[in-house]
This record gives sequence, C-alpha cells and structure tokens, in this order.
Amino acid sequence: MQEFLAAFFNLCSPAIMGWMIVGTAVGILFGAVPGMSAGLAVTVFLPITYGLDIITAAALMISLYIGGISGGLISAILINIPGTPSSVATTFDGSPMAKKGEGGKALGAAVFFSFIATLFSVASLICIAPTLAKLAIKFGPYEYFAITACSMLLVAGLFGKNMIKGLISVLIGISAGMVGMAPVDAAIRFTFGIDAFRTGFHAIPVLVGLFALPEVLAYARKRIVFEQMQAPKVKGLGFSFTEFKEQIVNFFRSSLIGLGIGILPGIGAGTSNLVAYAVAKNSSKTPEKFGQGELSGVVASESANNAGIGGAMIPLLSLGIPGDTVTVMLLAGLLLQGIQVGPRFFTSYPDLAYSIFGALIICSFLMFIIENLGMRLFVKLLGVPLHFLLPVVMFVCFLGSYSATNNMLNMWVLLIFGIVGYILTRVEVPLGPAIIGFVLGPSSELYLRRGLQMSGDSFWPFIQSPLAATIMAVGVLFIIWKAVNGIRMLNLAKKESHTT
Amino acid sequence: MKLNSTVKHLNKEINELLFSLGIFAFFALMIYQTFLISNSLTRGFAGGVVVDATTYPKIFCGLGLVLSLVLIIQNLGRIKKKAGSIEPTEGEIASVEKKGKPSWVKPLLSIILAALFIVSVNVLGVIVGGWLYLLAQIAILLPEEKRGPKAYVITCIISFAVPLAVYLPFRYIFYVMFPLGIFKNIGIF
Repeated sequence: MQEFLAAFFNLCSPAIMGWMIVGTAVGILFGAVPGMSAGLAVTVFLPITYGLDIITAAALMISLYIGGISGGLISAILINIPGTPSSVATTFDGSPMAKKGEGGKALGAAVFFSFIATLFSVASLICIAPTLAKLAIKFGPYEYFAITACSMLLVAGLFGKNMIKGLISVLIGISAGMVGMAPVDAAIRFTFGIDAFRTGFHAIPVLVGLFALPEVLAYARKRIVFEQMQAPKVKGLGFSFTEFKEQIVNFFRSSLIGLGIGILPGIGAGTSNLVAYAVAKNSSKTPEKFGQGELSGVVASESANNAGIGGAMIPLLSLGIPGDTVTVMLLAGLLLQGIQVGPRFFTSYPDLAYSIFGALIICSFLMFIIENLGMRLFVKLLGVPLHFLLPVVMFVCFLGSYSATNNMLNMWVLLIFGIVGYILTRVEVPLGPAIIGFVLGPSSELYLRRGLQMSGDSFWPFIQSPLAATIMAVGVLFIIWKAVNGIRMLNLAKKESHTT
Repeated sequence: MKLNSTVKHLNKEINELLFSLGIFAFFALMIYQTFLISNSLTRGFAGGVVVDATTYPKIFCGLGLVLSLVLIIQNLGRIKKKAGSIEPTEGEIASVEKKGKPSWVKPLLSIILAALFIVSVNVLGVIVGGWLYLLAQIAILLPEEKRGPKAYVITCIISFAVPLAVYLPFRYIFYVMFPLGIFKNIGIF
C-alpha cells in the first residue's frame, strides 16, 4: 500500500500531471474525430514517450488510451458517427437522444458511466493481474513460446473477416521483425545488403507507418464528411439519481462484459460495446425502445468499452499479451524503454506497475473532468477538417520517427511500411495482426530457440509441458474452429444461392 | 447497375489476386534469403545441430508461402465464379474503370509527396521542407468545393506555423537535432 501511495504521489508531480492532462485531452480529441483513433493517438506520441522517463512515458500513453477510448462518445452522440469502433453501439441510442433534445443527458450519462466503468476495470486489474502474474512466474521458455504463439494465432483469427488474411498479416509482421540480428546468436538476416538494417527496423517508424500513413492515404482516396455539431448544455451530471439507480444493474453487467472481452487477446472495446448493447436490449423489459433513444443503450455501450481498458491491461501486464491494438502500442512503448512486460513485471518493476495503476485512476478522473468542462471546446476543435489535421499528424509522425534514432532511414522505413499498411487495408488484410507479429515475433523466436537449446533441439518438451501444451492447443483449436466455421458458412451461402 | 457492381467486384478480386501473388513472391524471396544466412557461426553459438538462425524464418516463411497459395486458389475460384456469372463488354469495363480512376491519384500523389519531403529534408531542412510538404499535402487533400481564398489563407497559416510549433519542442525539450538545411547557420534554430 505504501509503495502504491508513493507511486501515486509521484504521479501528482506537476510535470507528469501536465503530460497526463495533455494526453487525456489529445486522446479525447483523437477519439472524437472520425477517422482518427486511440491507437493513432498513442502511435503519434510514441516517439515523444521514447524521450521521456519510463514513469512519465507510461502515464502519457495511458492518458492517451483512456482519453481516446472515451472520446468516441462525443461524435457518436452528436453526429451519429462513432469516433472509434468502441463507440459504434453508442450511436444506436445516443444520436436519437440528441435528436430528441436529450443530448445533454446522453453525453452526461456516457461520460459518467465511462468514468466509473474505467475505475471498475482498474480495480479488477489491480486484483487480478498480480495474482495471474504469480501463477505465471513459473513459466519457462516452452510456456512463453506457447503464450506468444497462441496470442498471435488468436489475434490473427479474430481480426478481420478472412482468417487466412489475418494469419498472413501476422506473418508479414513476423517477417519485418526478423530483419537484422537473430536472437541467441546474432546472425545477420534479411538485410538485403543494407548495413543500416543490421540492427533491424526500429519499432517507432514501423508502427507509425503501419498505423498513421494509411489513414492519410485512405482519406486522400475517400473523404470522410461529417456535419458541424453543436454542444448541448449539460446540467449537473446530465441525469437524475433515479435514472442512475435504474442503470446500476445494466452498468455492472455491461462492465463485466467489457472486462471479460477485454481480457481476451484480439477482441477489444470494438466488440464489447456491441455485445453489451445486445445483452442490455435482450434483458430489457422494453427492448422496442432501443434504437429510439434509450438511455440504457448508451450506458451499456460506454460502460463496456471503458471497462475493456482494465480488461486489456490484465493480460498485457501479467502475461505480456496485448488485448487490443492500443495495448500493442503500449507494449511497444514499454519495450522501447527496455521494459519487459510479463509475469516478472510486478516483481522486476514494482514502481512502474504501481505507477500504471495510479495513472489509470488519475486519468479516469482527468477524463471525467476534462470531458465535462471542455465539451464545448472539443466540439469546436472537431470543426477542424481532416484535410488540415491529417497532414499535420503525418508531419509529426515523420519528425517523431526521425527522432527515434536521429536517422533519416527511419523516415523511409515509415514511408515503406505506410505503403504496405495502405495496400493491406485496401485488400482487407487487418493491420492488428501485423503489428502484434512485429512486436511478439522476436520474443517468440527467442523463447523457441532457448527452449530448443534446453531440450537439445527436441520439440517434444514443448508438448510435454502441460501448460505449454494446453495454451498451444487453445490457439490451434481456435484456428481449426474458425476454419471449420468458415467452411460451414461458405457451404450455407452456396446452398442458399442454389435455392434462390 | 448490376453489371457495374459485378465488374467492381471483379476488379476487387483481381486486386486481391495480385496482392496474393505479391505476397507469394515476398515469402519465396524470404525463404531464398534464409539460405544466404551464414550458418557456420550460428550453429556454433546456438550449440544445436538442427536449429539455427534460419529455422524460425524457414518455418514461418514456409507457412506464409502455403497460406498465400491458399489465398491465390481462393481468389481464382471467386474470379472464375464472378466472371462466369456475367460477361461485360470491354467498353463497359473501361467505363467502370474510368469512373473509379481518380480514387488512386490522390493517395499516389501523397506517397510521392512524402518521398519528396524525405529527400528534401537534408537539403532544405526540416522547417522549410515541412512548410512545402504541408502546403502540398493540404492542397492534395483539400476538397474541390472547399477551395477558395479562406481555405488558402488557413492552409498557409497551418503550413507555416506547424513546422515551427513541432520543431521547437522536439529541439528544446527532447534535444533532437534535425537537419536544418538552409537554416543551419541561423542561431535561433
């Protein structure tokens, strides 16, 4: 408790607090503007975190994450366009409420329940993650390899519509991660004769390229148009105490859904808000009101997506497995600082672990305060068109990539991976698996080779270890299930087309 | 309308087929590259007989080769099915392609512009290069109906202010030394 309080007070220093305020505000803005996202916010700031100390860097990334996930509610309610995929279900009832003149209530409830759902998920994170890490502390290379391989398989299967494309995406990421020195023996690979590639690609230009440039190119190809919005007045919290009491069950149920889905690798807030909305609708005595401007719909969606934050952080901090795209970026940010996230994280870096918990709590409060006080300002800032914003974002990304190692090559790497990312999105290959492949691929190879060194080049111990075997079986069975399900759906579609 | 939609889908499948072929070639190249990795050093260090620095790439690039082959077969099947369902004339395909043509011009221009920016940074410096990049990139993205004196003034203000606003914190807070090009002899930068 003392360590936690010490970390908490450390976070309250003016410098770190300043970064967290900026991060939360920028995150909200990125989350609110359609076409930008929490992931992009963390990506843009990744080069900046590289120059900060680890506590400040972690606090900044978390503030961007929390702000980004929550910011999506603003445009979802006011212009019926979700700022991020995590707020899709918020549009179903939030926008009709705004049209009925209840925009203030919708915004107030969305912000409040986002806030308490984040706190709920952080409390769960504090309870679950260290316990899970204690269990995982006995892991050896076999188990670590199984975990990294399994999480790559799960993410490949869960992102996008076509599992093969997901797997190819992971393999592209792994291939990018293999450039440079091999783990264990430092053999030089895939440099294509370019000496600068001997140390491999730096994570910042690769991640920024894959994530940011495709956004600009996609906008250049097809413009996103959204109408100017008006900020409604929010009195108090925007809703009554009776309405709060009515939503308590819905809140806990949706938060648990968000937490549970957030824990699973690959499925994040983008799915949990839809599932929570569907469950809230099915459990309601008046399901016909959903879609017409029902407060429960907004509460369900916003509770679930924000509860996913703590959920996604549980496997990240305790096992080193990112729960969604934003946590992949967090993992990359921590790796850039030389921090190895996983079962030993809580014992190796207790200060950082407590600081992350503290930052999550502080940023939840900041998000609540900034969204309530700055709503009008955000609405005004949202009026800045994307054709002005995106080039600025791109320019910052170029400079940020250069600053990672003060090398012009990073800018070229950014451009190349940006083009790769754009091509992948054009042919509907999800980018999330490529990012996780790039981040986890090298550790996966390291554990594989360490394991093989221990076993004298035998693969048997990977299967003989009950835990490793179980984890790998989960990944393989999941892929088989996805494949069988895909074939079944294809046959069903064929049958239907024959009958019609 | 149905014809247009079918041709569009056909174009999409052809694009996906080209992508699959590209990915197949990429993984084939990667596998070829694994044979160029020096093994004499790696085996000695790893202490193993079978496993070395080429094992992991061979496993995963081999898997990539197989998966891209599956994707090629899937795409060929879909193209065959869609092409068989309706047969548009060459003129009709050309008209559909013509309508969709401008969609790739702006992304291509943006890529060329980014490349020119990177090249220009060493010569013009990050500030002047940034001014020109932002001016041109905003000009590319600016929709036709929004063009006018007001938009041009905003574009100029953003283009001139942002490079400085971004450069100064990087330089004086994070101590990053950017190429300054023609500004390198000016003391304040």
